[in-house]
Amino acid sequence: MVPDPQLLEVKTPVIRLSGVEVAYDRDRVLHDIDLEVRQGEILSFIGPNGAGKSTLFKALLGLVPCAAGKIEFSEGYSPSRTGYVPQVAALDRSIPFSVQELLTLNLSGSRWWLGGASQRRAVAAQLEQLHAGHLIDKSLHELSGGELQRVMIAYSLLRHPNLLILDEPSTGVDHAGVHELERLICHLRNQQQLTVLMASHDLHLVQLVSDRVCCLNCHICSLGSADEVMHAHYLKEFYALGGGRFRHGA
Amino acid sequence: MMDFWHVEFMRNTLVSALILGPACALLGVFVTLRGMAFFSDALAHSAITGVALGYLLQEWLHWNVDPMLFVLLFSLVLATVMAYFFDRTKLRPDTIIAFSFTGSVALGYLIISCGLGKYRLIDGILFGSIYSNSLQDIFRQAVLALAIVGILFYNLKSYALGILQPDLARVQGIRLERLNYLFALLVAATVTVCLKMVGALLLSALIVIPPAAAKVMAGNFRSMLLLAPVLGLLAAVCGVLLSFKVNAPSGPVMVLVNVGFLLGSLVVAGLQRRRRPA
Repeated sequence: MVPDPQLLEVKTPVIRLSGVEVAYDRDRVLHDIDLEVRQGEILSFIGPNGAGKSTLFKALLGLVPCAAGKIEFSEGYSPSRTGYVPQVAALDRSIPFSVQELLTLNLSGSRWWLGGASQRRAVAAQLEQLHAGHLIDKSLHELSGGELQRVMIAYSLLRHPNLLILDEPSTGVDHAGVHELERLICHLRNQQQLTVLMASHDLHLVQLVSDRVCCLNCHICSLGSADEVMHAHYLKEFYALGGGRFRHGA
Repeated sequence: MMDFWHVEFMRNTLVSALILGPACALLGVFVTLRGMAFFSDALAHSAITGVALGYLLQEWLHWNVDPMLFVLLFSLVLATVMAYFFDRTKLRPDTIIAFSFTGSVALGYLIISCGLGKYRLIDGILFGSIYSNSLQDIFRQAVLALAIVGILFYNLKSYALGILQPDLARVQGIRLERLNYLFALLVAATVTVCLKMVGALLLSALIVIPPAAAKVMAGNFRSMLLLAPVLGLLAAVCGVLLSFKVNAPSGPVMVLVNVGFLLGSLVVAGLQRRRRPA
């Protein structure tokens, strides 16, 4: 799906990272990160395992402190107005949670265990928007990879965020599921005006949905349009791939 | 049955079972889902050291303090230390539990073997002595049960989200580390108060088995939360009544009834799976 050209014209930065450095103990995971995230764009991060993609997201969400530099959100944007979809591998699916129970955890209100018709209506409406209403009573362990991603995105949208962070959304998703995911991500940006940050190893998905791509390997190695960045030279450097330009759908 | 109710120690035993069975099972839902089954076991066994230390201080300093107070203090300290290590070190939780468990039992055994503790009381700690239940003990158990229900339900959403995916909880501003310490202290207090019921060797069965059986049968988290205390209550009451009937110690009978429930739930779940169309 081709990104909406009108939205590409919108250049207002909503997040500004200046000289950001993140370290675990004494190991620098990220350094010298200077980046602007523009309103309404889909910005994807690629890079090898351990490149710092998830850590960058955690720094944006305030889950890990910055050892140096600063992260500024423009008005109306903040970690609390950010929808976060973590890697599904980090979700413990052995716990007997139903989809409804999971989603109601992200609704405001303290009487979560009581359930109630209004909670169910809110959850069902959100799932319906993502064409996942039929999953509401299923257990998490019964869901396929694609269904779980859809449910997690529905979870993250319940608080009406204006920024969505997707960490490896195509993990465990089959080929058809990746196409569904592609349509969903573009729909969220085009219809709900969301700014989307995504980390993925799925270069096919990145190529299809991204307005800009950032190659990360502890620092920003390259940043630009998908065509500029996903070039054989970079891919070879990051993933040790053979020569030739990356061809999606191949 | 009426005769049973007129005998004080039997009545007290049954009341304790009614209070602690469901309370331990409710706590156990979170203990098992967090993979902390051996955490409660380690704390229960550390009671040996707590009581030995209590008598050591009594003999040296001539303090006339209830040794169970030392058991509680030692359990709270050990729970805090283990929670700190879970949070701040790269060691796996099972490694931390193993060295805390063996280290504390070794210390307790050393104190006892030097003749400083009292074997009679250690025996009570290991195997429980529910028949010596006093009204004061029942009051403590009731306070504990209220604390378990209050703390868990007040923080239910936070604990549930923390089990599922800790980062999702932190994004919502939930201070997970504080809640984890609170939970560790709650388990330590539960272990101390419940020692009389079944003893250190069997205690974790009351915490672990009812939620395990509930998980097998429950379709979702809410039903697991309801089913576990019901099974805990039934197993505790049936265990006490059965033990009086066959004149056997109530702790092991309670545990065996729990095991029976778990095996029964596995059989029922297996039959349901077979009947379900493919």
